[in-house]
Amino acid sequence: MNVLLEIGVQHYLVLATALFCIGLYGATTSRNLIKVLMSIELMLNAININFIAFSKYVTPEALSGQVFAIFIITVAAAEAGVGLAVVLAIYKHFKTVDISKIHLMKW
Amino acid sequence: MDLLGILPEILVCLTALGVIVLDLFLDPAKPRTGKLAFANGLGLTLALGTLLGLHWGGYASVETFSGAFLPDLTAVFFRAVLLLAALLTLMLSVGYVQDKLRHPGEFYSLMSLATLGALFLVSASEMLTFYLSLELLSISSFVLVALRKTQARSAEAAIKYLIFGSISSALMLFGFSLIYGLSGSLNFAEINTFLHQQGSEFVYRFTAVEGQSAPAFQDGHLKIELMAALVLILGGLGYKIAAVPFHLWAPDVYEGAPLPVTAFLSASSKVAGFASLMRILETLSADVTVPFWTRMIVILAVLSIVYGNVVAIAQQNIKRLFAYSSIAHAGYLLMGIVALSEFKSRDMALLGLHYYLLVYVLMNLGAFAVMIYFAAKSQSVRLQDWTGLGRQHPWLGFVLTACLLSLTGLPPFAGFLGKFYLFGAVTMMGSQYLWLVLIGVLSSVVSLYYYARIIRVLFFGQTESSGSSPSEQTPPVLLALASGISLVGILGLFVFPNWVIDFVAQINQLI
Repeated sequence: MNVLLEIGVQHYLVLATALFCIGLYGATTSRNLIKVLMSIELMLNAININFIAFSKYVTPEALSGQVFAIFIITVAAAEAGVGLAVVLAIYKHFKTVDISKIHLMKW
Repeated sequence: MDLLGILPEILVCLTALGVIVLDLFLDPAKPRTGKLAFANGLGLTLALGTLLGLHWGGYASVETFSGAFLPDLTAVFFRAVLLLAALLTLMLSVGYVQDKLRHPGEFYSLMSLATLGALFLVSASEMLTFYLSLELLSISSFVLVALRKTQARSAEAAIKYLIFGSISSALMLFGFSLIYGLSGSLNFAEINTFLHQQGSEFVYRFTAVEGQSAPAFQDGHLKIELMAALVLILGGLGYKIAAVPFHLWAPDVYEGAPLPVTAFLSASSKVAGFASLMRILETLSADVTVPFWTRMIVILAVLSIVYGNVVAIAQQNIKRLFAYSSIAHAGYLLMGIVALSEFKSRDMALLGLHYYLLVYVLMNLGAFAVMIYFAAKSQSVRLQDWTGLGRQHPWLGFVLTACLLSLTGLPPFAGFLGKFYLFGAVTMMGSQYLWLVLIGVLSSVVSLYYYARIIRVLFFGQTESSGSSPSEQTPPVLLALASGISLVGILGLFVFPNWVIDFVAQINQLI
């Protein structure tokens, strides 16, 4: 019962891995580009949980993992900005954000 | 703080910002590409000069910025190669940017920023710096690919590049977080020490017990946490170097991107990817991990070489052909990475990787310089539209032929020596890897077929028009200069490889 009562690093790891897998699934199977970008954010947030949990349980005296998480949040925002701009450009040309209808180039 | 060590990077950063500011003050009604290109070229040349001057002036540095930045000799070499690649890309881009792009300032600024990311990437010695510089390189590249706003293909290529890039950098980061959790450190050197000291905790050890069936895992099998971290990190970096099976973005992005951007991606991005892969694998090298990642890299190398060369045969679009050719070259270079894993072949592999990456930049950008001119002449990037162009422009046709033969790996061009070193390094590992060399050599023969097809179309194709006599028009000076530098480079490095050999010997002495 102890495992269930005390929250340890493994709980965070299970949560982060589940979140990461959901994000990966969403990013690879969604047909809507906005959904794909959201799934990628989910993956990055799973990584943040990982880093913060490790920072707390493995290196409690150093904050390197938490600093890393802050940087990931910043870079994710920049990436989302560029991503949305490109989605706008896609919409202007194709009049859709359905990824299966964007296939000018094949093989 | 030792700012002298990052002086080249500071100069590149100032150049990127300066070009944007200069763009504001220039009259948009008049052509401004030349001025912007000049300012950018000046900044990059200064940076290259500073880097080489510091090196020859005896400046040597250990880790600076709390161990985030390590300007050792390997980093100096790759930073010089990256700045050279950026300068060559700049030279060959001027005509194209003037004709086709509405935003020359943004193009040059983003190219400098991407180069800045690549420069930091090859000298990062800590995960956070590594990740940030990788993202600077990637995000700038996404925008560069999307820069031809009127073209639907450009936007499509950008979204494919962005999605693949984001997913694979997320995979890599997940691997990083696992490594951080295991070792409790972000610093490469500390991680390496950790793996050397406590790596044996991460393998299964079994002692034979009578009456029990054999365990499911073999002795020495890597435990899942470390294995997952290695697979994820290799997946993330495999995308950057476009190795099969992480190559899916490459053909579409190469086709959709503006031609100078394709040239930039095929040269700078690949050099930065390989330099960072070398450094990461050096970090993750310990007795327990080396056999595992060697197996993975062997698989990637074989798949890339075979797939790249075979699919390139069917290509009619010259940009897609070069995408598959660059996948195949990633495979050859991965053979060198395989040879890094053993002590007896390590020196040769380092020489091969350094030499081949330098030569690859020269021959690829030389080919792209000519291709940009031919594409502008024929208004097409399909091979059949280029019939007879080599006869009309003998000099450029000659340079393209030389670059293609060098890419194939024929003497008297430097591509031959590069492949010789890489294959030689794998041979030195012993007979169990000879089949890998055999695949490499046979695939090079296959690659001769599709490279020679370009040469045949250029010089021996039938043209309906009578315009097969040498043309009076001369190509732009900068473009001709870029092609000249590449030709001199690939011939000169074949005759005098000692320059690189001596430099790599210096690196080896320090290890």
